[in-house]
Amino acid sequence: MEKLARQMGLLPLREEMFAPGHNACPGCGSTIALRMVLNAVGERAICLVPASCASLYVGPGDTSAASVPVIHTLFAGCFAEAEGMARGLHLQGRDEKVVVWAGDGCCYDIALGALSGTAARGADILVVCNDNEGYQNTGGHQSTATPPDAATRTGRRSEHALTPVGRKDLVEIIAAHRVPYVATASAAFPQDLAAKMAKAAQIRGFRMIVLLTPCVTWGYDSRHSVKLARLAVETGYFPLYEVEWGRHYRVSHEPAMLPLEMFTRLQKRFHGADLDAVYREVQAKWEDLRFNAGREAAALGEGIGVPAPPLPSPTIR
Amino acid sequence: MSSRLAEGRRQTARMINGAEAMALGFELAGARIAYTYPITPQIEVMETLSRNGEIAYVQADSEYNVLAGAQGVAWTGERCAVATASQGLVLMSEVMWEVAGNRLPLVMGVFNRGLKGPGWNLGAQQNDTLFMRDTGWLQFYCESAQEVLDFILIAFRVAEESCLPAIVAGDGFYLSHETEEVRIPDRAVALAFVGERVRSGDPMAAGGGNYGGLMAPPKYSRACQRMHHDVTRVAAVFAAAAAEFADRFGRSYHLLSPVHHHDAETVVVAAGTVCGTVRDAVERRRRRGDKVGMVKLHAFRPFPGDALLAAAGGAAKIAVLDRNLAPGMGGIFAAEVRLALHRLRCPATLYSFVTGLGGADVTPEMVERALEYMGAENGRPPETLFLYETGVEE
Ligand code: SF4
Ligand SMILES: [Mg+2]
Repeated sequence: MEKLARQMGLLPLREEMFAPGHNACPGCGSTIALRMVLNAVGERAICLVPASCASLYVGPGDTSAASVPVIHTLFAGCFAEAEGMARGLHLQGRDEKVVVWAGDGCCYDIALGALSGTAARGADILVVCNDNEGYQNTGGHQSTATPPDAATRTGRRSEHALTPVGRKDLVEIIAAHRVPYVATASAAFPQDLAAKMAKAAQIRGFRMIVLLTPCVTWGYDSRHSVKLARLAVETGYFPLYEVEWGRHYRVSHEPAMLPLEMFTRLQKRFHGADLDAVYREVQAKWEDLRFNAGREAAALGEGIGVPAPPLPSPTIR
Repeated sequence: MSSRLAEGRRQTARMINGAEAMALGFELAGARIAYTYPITPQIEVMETLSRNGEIAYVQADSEYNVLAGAQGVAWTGERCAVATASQGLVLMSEVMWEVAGNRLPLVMGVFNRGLKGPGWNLGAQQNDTLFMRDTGWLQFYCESAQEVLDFILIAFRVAEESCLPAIVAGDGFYLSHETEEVRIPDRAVALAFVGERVRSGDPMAAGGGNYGGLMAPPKYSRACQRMHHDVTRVAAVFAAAAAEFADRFGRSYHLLSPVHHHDAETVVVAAGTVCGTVRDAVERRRRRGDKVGMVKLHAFRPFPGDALLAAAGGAAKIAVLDRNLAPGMGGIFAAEVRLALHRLRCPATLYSFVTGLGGADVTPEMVERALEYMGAENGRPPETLFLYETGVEE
């Protein structure tokens, strides 16, 4: 493939670590992100993929769209396995980076204990959470990353809960382990994503990047995939930020704070949903984020006399 | 005396228990990483490993992640120490299948302990390892601390040669906590025996590629078929490894070892520490002129059915003592023996005794009771019998 690309003068293809020819759904937001992630990590890497759409779309049968080895593995075991691999490589003086490409069902639910364990043990691994807010490979089922009032194939989370529920805040959970680096990123902001990946790739120790990746099971027109990724950020629904050592917060992109509906109305899952509840969650997140990011700036005497940065726009209805 | 045996003479005798012997086995086999999680009765294995400054010691957050972590280590071609028991092993089950399917030659030490069924239990019972029957892991059972150490070394050699993982099991407490004299091989000789870790199919050396991804049914079924044949072929791999082991260290092992079997009319089959008790009972009976023999099973996978029949097939009655139970079926070793008898058209009558569950003591007197029961009972015995100190029950 690479040779052919060179012969044909298609030079950009040479740099791609994730080639066309995968078999994800048209309009899948995660393959775009995976390409960026693998490009940023480079050739000296090994990728672990727990049970997910990626178990299938990286390459059916003996083919592979990725230029690095991909080990397909268990839903709950991937993080510890990556840790063991990194330890083995370390012992042998090898420099391959160990990257786990895991979905939200894995990170938020079934392997949360393992994620916490490997973070607490300082495992030298880079976890990339491909968060599409649900178990999408099984056809669109709720995970604890699913917004409580979003429709899934088994109803809304809020319908099944005995008491009010919210989305788990995975970034904060992992940040609370005081790991070197946790960040959020989006394929709609490729430079921000590449910069964070480059930063994470350099650091030794436990690193995690959470990507919000639109999935067609959200009920959108496949052409809107990147637009939705962008709107998730620009409405404030998905803040782009990073946390170092669990304490040093930085918002890496100031969103335009567009009305939340611009993001939700393109998706069937939010039709008939209580958007005020979503809004309240988003607003609370930004209040915390502003507080945490401002704390350091205040200590440094920065930001004095500067107007407070904006919170999300209220819903228009 | 061969020069190799002379090498082997450089062994030091020490009083240690089975847990220490297990840890020593991993050290001598060249494991550079240990993945651990505390569970009784393997605690002393991990404690011993933690004191070894040359082993990177990792305490994971669950046994599930112990095995997942060890699998990661195995991918890189490093040897890893893993030991567990009971709930820990059962928690690992999902990963057990994957490790075997990936054909990664991990070796795991297990001190058998009863599972939380009707209640908590700390005593010896083999259901934890036997639950792993269908995973593709090889399974070896030990009677003494010496065997634990020796089998860890042999298991590494066999696992790596056959690309199959192996369990080395011994009864919890009876073996993990009992101290005995163990001859400890010289480190260099032990390592020479286990051999260089040959890393084949290392994904990291191969560049891009998918490992363990979705397999279409024809390929999946062929992979399963191959695993089946490879497990059965281990008998030959084991024989070669054990012969070299005997040559180097003077201790000879087989997939099973018979005692007084040539003229035996009744043969008792067992695995684990209960073998010592059976041997005692058999000797007592022999002194009284009874034609009784025994077969100690070292291997459950591969199951040495042919060798068993060669050793015990001439007997009219075969008893199997099982420190395990598959409810509704009976003793698990007995089921395997029954199958082998049937396959090889052996006319011997099989008596299946389930005994010592939950670590209950099995005494020579109890074994003699079983033999008396067999002597008196000449019809078709019930499929499963329960052997207690008070006697035989259905
Ligand atoms: S179900 Fe969603 S995540 Fe999976 S391939 Fe399709 S769009 Fe991508
Ligand atoms: Mg998902």
